Amino acid sequence: MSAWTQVTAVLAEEPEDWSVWAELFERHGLPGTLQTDDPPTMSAYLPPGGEAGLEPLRDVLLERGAVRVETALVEEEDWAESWKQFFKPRRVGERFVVRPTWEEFAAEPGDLVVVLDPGQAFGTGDHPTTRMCMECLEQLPVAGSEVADVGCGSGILAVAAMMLGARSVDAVDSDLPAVEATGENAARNAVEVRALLGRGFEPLAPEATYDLVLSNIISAALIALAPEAGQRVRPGGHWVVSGVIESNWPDVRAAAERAGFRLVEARQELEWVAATFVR
Amino acid sequence: MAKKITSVIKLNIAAGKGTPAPPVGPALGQAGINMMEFLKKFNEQTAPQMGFTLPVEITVFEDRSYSYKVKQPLMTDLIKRAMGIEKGSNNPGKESAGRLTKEKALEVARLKMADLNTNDEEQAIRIVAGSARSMGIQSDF
Repeated sequence: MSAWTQVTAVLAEEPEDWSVWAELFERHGLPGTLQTDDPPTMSAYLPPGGEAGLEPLRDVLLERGAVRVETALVEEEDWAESWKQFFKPRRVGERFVVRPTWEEFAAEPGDLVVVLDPGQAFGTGDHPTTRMCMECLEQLPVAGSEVADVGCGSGILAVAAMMLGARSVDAVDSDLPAVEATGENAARNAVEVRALLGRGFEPLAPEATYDLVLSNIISAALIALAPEAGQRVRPGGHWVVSGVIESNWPDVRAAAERAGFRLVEARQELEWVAATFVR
Repeated sequence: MAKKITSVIKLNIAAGKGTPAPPVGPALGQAGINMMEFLKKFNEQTAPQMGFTLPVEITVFEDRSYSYKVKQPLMTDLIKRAMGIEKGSNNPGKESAGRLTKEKALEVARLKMADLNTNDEEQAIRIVAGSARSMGIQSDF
């Protein structure tokens, strides 16, 4: 196994501006840094084979006033996967349980268990934006409806909508791993979701309209999507939006209202806002 | 109900270019955060600022959920931009990398004000001048 060398500059006190230290690391080819306040330290990692860079970096850090420079070897591992050990089945909303593929869960009657491997895609049910979307979804008359999930990520919302009895779900994402994850997660849960690659509503049939559109994206994307959402959602249908940071919420709301939507419900968890609009 | 915070992770990451390699990987993996999820959002959100390194504060809660805040670019990056230079001096005590006008310092201070421990513009300008000095940039004031 190859190892990274963690180089930590321990400082006498918290600097007024940390960027001076980050810049030193950056100048030695290490643009990514980690800082701690107590004790005040800044670290970066030399990649395997890059150990020759250690001495010059150490000299500069000490010369600029670091109390000492510590080094540690960190074995290379699949960091993208290491969080999985912490991803446990969890209840979301009133009826949903999100269970990662590698965990067991004893469901109770009435539970809707979404089996999920998010892969590289967003949406484990662990994030407020996803969770609130599922809660909004639960409140809507999903049974028998035609649904579009724009920005589907792991496909968690698309699968959840099918479990609530949707007639069909078209799921779109601009990111190929997300489209793949959605297809795989739908299969895992034995539901049918049409997963399509593209931006916004683009890959959907031009005349297609929906009873419900779900969009857990980011504020700017929601604002850009609003006019077309106003065309794609049938009168009386709903648009559930999430991924909105509190400070952007007024703009997202205004964009939805301009597109002919009326706010039904808004939820907030931490700085995240999710909302249901009706057309 | 307020959720219990288990850790606050402070990283500086190149805008639009976050990867699971260290320091992000070990820091977020240990905290139990779905890193790819975080990176995807981070990269998408910060793509317009490509070229800058951005300080990010990730608050991890007891249930392994998290929230994060992306701050203004590193002050040294803002100084470099204001000065139109690519890097500071390799030998700040001896070699100069240019001179910073008060106007430019104020421009940087205003951009970075929200991230500093002060609301006082003069104090902020003083911090900017200090950071510039450490890069071999003298101030004109």
